[in-house]
Amino acid sequence: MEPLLRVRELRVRFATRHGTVSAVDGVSFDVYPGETVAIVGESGSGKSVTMQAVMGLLPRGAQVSGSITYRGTELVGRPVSVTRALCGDELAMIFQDPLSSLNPVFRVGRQITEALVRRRGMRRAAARERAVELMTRVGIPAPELRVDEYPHQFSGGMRQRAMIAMALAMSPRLLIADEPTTALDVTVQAQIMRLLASLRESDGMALALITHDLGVVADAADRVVLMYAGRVVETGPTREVYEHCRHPYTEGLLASVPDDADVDRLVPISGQPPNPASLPGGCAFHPRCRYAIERCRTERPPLSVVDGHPSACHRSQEVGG
Amino acid sequence: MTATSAMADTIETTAPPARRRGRTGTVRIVGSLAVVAFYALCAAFGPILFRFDPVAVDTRNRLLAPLSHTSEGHLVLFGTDQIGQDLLAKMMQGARVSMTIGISALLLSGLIGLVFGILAGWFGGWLDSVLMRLADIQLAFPGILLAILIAAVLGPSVGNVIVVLSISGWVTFARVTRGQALATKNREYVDATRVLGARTWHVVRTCVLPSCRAPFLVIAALHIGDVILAEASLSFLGLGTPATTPSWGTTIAGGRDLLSTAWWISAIPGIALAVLVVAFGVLGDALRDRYDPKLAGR
Repeated sequence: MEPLLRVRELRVRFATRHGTVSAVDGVSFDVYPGETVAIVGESGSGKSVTMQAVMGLLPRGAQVSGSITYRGTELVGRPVSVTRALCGDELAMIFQDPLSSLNPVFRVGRQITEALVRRRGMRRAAARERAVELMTRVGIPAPELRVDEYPHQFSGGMRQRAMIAMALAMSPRLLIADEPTTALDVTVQAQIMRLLASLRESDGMALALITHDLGVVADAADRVVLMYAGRVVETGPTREVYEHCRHPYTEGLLASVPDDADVDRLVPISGQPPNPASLPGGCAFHPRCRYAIERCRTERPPLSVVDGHPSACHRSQEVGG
Repeated sequence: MTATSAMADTIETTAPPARRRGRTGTVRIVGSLAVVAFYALCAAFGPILFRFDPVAVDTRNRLLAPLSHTSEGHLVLFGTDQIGQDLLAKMMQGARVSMTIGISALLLSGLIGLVFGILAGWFGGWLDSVLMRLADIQLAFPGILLAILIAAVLGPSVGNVIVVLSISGWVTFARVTRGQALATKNREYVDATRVLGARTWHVVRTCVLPSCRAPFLVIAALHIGDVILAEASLSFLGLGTPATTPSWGTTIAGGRDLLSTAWWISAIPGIALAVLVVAFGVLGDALRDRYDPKLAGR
């Protein structure tokens, strides 16, 4: 099967006052139709920048190289209008903070169907009905009333639902969700994730989920891509990665998830994520790694398959179980 | 017992102001709008009721004091000038000219400011540097001096006055628009609009322009007083409207030589002008306090 989105050796560099900073360094992954791929990493690991590169949202001055193809169309090195033409019908995105991702001066219903009116020539009255339908689908109560309200009259969870309705309006094939539940409280998080899962099932849409919450990943994702310091450190089917992790970073992340049985003992990963302007030599994770050997300081491990799925560690044989 | 009743009193007296919050300056806004509306009505309907002929001469009724009667027995409320023209009719005609020029110049400078501000703030880069340095250079000149210079080059006519005044007024609008564009540019809802496939113009229209609305209203009200005053100054100096279209500035200038004998020719239009400018100033301040307290002091 052809992947919807194919990212190969993607590199994103930013020119700053302190020299060029590499935010994403040789990232490759695929998203196939109908599947959920989770891209997991700490702040600064390059997961959001990767998706911004896909959506053409990077600030001017960012240097992008490598290849991003959407259904065979190359997006890197082409004008942003090529990406914009795919937006809506093919690609859609929802953001971390639903509070600031709705335009405060327009009614919610109008924003949800703006793309339909603008790009499909739908009439305002028909669009309003469609907005009510979409709002019903994403579980906003009393949609006939709320369709004419402004974003400030919505709660955080309702705003994220409205954002999802907005992204769904054009029935995209791939929805990119950039930490969709980070700004919401835990019960609402679960509701939103359930909503995304059910919509994915009914529409057959693919979902690229950017998150740092491994709990979310375990429930929702078919495949997982773990990123550290701008590189992919481990990738594979969620289940396999969770049960037989092959990278010390993944192991550390899994160990720092609260366990029902043993709530008092969390094992954190020691140290801080590295400054992308001055990455450690060799494997970027070695200063924080308890498996680190001399070779890790000098030689950067490539992403290679060691029984099962790809990981980037010299000692992947000894990691996990 | 007394303590509880005292407490009840405080609760009662403090409750209503909380409800009135966010409605600052209502009295000032309504009051100044009433003055402006009165002028607008005079400008619109005055010249229809009191026909004014700029070339008519009535030597029998020249230099009549306010509240006196003409030889035909009509009351002249504001007196007559040195060629026997009724000052009230002349001022209403002048109000029409002055306010038309003021509003046109305001709209034109607002439009120029909006376009330049969006170009500078949204697209940035060298265009931003060029436009903002241009604005800085212009701000280094005293506004009226620049207006006199351009007016002297273009010559007196209503159209030229509008052009001159808009050139000297665009900077404030451009700066505010640029600020709003910069502030909006990196908001998440702009990205959210973009990923639905919106093009630049659509994003500017739906995200930047609405955020300019309140500051524009405030600046417009503060600025229009200046524009009307500047128009009067130019006309007073003979660089504004030609004598056949009497604005307040030309009327005031016309009475300058007769100040000791017929004070009303200059004084009454001057007072009328001052009242209107003050009304706009009050309106602008009140709108600023209501919509954008952060703009104070600009």
